[in-house]
Amino acid sequence: MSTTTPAPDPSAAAVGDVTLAEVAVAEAETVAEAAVSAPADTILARELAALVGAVPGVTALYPARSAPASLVSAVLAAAARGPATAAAAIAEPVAVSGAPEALSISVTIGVDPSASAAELCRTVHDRLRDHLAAAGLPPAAGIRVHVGAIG
Amino acid sequence: MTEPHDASVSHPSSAAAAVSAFSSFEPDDLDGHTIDELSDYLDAGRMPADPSIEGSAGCQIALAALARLRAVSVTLLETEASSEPAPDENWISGILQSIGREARAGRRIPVSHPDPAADLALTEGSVRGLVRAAGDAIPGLVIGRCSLDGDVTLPGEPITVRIEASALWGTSIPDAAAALREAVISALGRHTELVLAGVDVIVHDLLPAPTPVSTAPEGAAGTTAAVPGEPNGDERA
Repeated sequence: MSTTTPAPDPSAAAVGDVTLAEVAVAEAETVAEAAVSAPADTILARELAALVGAVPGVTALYPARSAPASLVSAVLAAAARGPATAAAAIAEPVAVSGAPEALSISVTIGVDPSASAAELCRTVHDRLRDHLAAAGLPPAAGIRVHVGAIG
Repeated sequence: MTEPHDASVSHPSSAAAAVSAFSSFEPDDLDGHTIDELSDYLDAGRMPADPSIEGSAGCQIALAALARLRAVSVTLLETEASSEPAPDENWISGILQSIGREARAGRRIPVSHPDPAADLALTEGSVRGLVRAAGDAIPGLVIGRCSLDGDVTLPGEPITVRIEASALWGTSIPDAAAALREAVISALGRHTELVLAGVDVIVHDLLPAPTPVSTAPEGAAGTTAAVPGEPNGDERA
């Protein structure tokens, strides 16, 4: 999957006819496939990306840093770890960092203008928090949800 | 509350002026992309998909604004041949510069949550984009600049939205300004927790409308359009 979940704007030819829900399902399916080679935080990041992408009103997931910066750091990281992790290293839309007992999670989302960006921030945060609890993980040290674009 | 503004004569320009204005952007303005690149990308129907553009919130905001500006520009260019005086090439250039500047993430605008571990926020760029989109939806207005004046990073701190726009000849400026203020207040109320002290709408250009210009009084275009009761054409909430 690319770094961005396609927006459902029909004028955006780049995203075709794929709905956000379909992307979320596909994303979830790829999580299991990636489990063999990807590190645990990457697997969790993909789970969380699928979770956030499925929240009604979320139109996109943006990497926290600008794309060129993300790509540079990803290439360096991939070179250090070897080719098996290269795909996973490039721009996960949800960033997971820190020790398992004190994870920090960060995501930047796009919001449908018919929703409420502030309310959606809270909803996404709560979904992430609840997912960690359901997975038996301790509460996150921090959950960052930023809205990068509306519309 | 409203600062002095430039009331100089300005007009819509040709496509060549728009293209020349594109080159004034630095790549870092838009996550490594220029407005020129985004314009070409838009021309190509956003195909093939470029992840570095589709993955940039700033690029998405700028693309949306570019698409709306193009729709307005085409209408204006249709009347360019019959308009007097000659168009000023700085008009579209100024708007493009504003779009690029406003699309940057900017400051962090907080969103409240009872959990102290929650870091929830909107980027200033997303809110400026929201304001511009609301303005672009008002018939008869072309949005030039949008800004959030005040400390948006402090919850509960009153801020002022400042919008500079041009109006098509024949548009009722007080009505358009009122509609714009209502749209902005509604959009910010829906999406943000910002406390608005005011919405300043400054209309400082009149643009030729897509109708025969022979009905327009001489010397009307390019002057500051004063709103009754407000000096210098300013309207505020």
